[in-house]
Amino acid sequence: MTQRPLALREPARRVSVRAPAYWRVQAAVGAAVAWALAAVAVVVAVAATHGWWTPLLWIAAAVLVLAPIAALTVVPAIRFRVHRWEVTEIAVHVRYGWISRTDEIVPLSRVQTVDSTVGPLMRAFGLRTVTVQTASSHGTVAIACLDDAVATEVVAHLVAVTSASAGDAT
Amino acid sequence: MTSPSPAAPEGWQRLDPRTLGTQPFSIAVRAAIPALAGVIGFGQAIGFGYAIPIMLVGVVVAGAIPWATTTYRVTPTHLEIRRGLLNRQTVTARLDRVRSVDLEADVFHRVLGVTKVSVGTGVDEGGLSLDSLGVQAAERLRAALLHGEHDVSPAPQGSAGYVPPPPAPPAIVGLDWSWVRFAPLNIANLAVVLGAIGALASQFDTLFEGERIEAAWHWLRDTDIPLVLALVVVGGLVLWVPVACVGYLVRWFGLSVTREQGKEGPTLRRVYGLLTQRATTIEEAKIRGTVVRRRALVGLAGGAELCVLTIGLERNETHLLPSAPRAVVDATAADVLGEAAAVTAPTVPHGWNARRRAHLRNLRAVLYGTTGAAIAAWRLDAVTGWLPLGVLVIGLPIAFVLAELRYHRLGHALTERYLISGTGTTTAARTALELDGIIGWRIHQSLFDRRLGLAQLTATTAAGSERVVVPDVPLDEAIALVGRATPAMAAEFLQ
Repeated sequence: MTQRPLALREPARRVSVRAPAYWRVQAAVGAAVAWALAAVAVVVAVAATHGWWTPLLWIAAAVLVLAPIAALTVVPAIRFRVHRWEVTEIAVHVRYGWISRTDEIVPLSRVQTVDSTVGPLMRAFGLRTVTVQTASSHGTVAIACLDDAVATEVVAHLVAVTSASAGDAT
Repeated sequence: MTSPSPAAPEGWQRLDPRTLGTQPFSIAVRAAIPALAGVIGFGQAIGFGYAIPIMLVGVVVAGAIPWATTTYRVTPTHLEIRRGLLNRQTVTARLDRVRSVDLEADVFHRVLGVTKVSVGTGVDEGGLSLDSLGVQAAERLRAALLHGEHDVSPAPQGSAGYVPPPPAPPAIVGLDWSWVRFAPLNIANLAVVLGAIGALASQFDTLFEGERIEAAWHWLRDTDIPLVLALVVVGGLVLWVPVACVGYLVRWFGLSVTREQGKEGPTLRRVYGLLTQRATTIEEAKIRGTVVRRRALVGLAGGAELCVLTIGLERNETHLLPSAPRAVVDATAADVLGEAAAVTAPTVPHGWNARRRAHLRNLRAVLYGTTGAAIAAWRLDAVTGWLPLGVLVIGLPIAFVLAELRYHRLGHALTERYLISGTGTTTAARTALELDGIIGWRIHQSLFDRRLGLAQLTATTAAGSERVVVPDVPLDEAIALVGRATPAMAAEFLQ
């Protein structure tokens, strides 16, 4: 078994099916701001006295118009494919990122706190994020965008397992 | 009100009366600048003849408050401290939660034979401290807290009841005078000294009036610049070497690290300092690893320094040894870790792609520098056209050497009980982290990492800086390392 190179298995479960819509709305808010700034840049470029800064303003406007397009179109689908999570009796494993890729594993015996958070926009989509903290400030793992019901279930499971383990988790 | 006798009925004890002598000095040192401002302000208003005595009386009275208001006692289960003038406060710590007892005595304390005691319980804030106790009382309190000897009643007067202290345990390591040779090589300290000189000089800014600077500039231009530079360098060295050596000795004089038997297992005790003497005790059960650092010049001269990574203390990366010969540092690290392999095991290099990345990263920096110089030479008349070429010619070999250094210091290893990570460019660092101390993993790949098949592996921990990074490691090796280091945690996610 140790002969062939090991690979990290994909965590078993996907995030909520409503997560892509939520990400898209979130991206739309950002896009609205970016496009407003682009409009300002265009107005300034046209109306103000021309100089060496005029082409820079046009470039800035173009970047501001184009930048949010990926987040509005393909990114939510890619993130939905990549983002996965799994909670077993022993550990939490999450994977996320759409250009970069991050895997995080935290053993439940070392968990110190379990939080669940929900923002106003998330509430509208019925989503919830479960956050698991350890004694390391770099060891916080978030399982983002779960269905409300699933999140509640996960929190209950985590609390049950972690409260059963002994020691001070350091 | 507390009773004035030294040992009140329920075993409450006061600070040492000699505290009355040390406190005014500590207050004066801590509040020197506002106090001076106050004296000058007051003095101009009501005359120095009144202001200075009022100030002195104020300092002495303020210094008496802690002694008058603080009492402490050790019960079989708890350490209790009562303090405060208006806000009476009782601080209680369970004895089985006490993780460290540190003694610290600055010059004033040592002249009067007293010492400050700080008790660490693993809680970040609200440390318990007693400033200050007699040296013997402090030792008894330390023994009571760490070794469970519940006799902290004051020693009976006279020699009849005097119990000689137990023989000192053998030292793991002690300061050797020859280590001073590394002190001048520690350039980081030079930066600190220069910073201090700069801060001091800015206080005398009348010296730096425009005319004087101009005059100095003219003088400089008329003289031989290389000669002046050489003189400055030689003069700097002549000054720096003794300053660095004296600084090293004052700080680390009498350093010794010993192992004692505490009530919950062995502890390490580190004592050092010429003027301010510090004695720190660390439970070995709280040690999760070590870092051996070879700083640029110190490393070239065969030196290194040792830090231990601990959990639950106020500072979780403690200097156990200052710059010292590598063999001594390695032997001490092996002793502390309890495993020789963790210090000696060769690290696995991270392969061709990691080396390529180190080189490309540095080449990119040289390219940016050259481009910047070219733009400057093109736009500014004052900059010669040779500058970009110079940057390129000087930058390329430096970039090459630094990249090779980085690659050769990069590596990881796994011993029976420790994860080893080697990192660093000019300063080589070898971190050993106990596998039991790993409380999570992160494997991160940026887009460029994915193209090269590399990953940034992070083991999170409660000790030290709370993480140990294995940078630029091939992905499959990173995953295999996770699997072998913590099989229980990772096995079910591997395939």
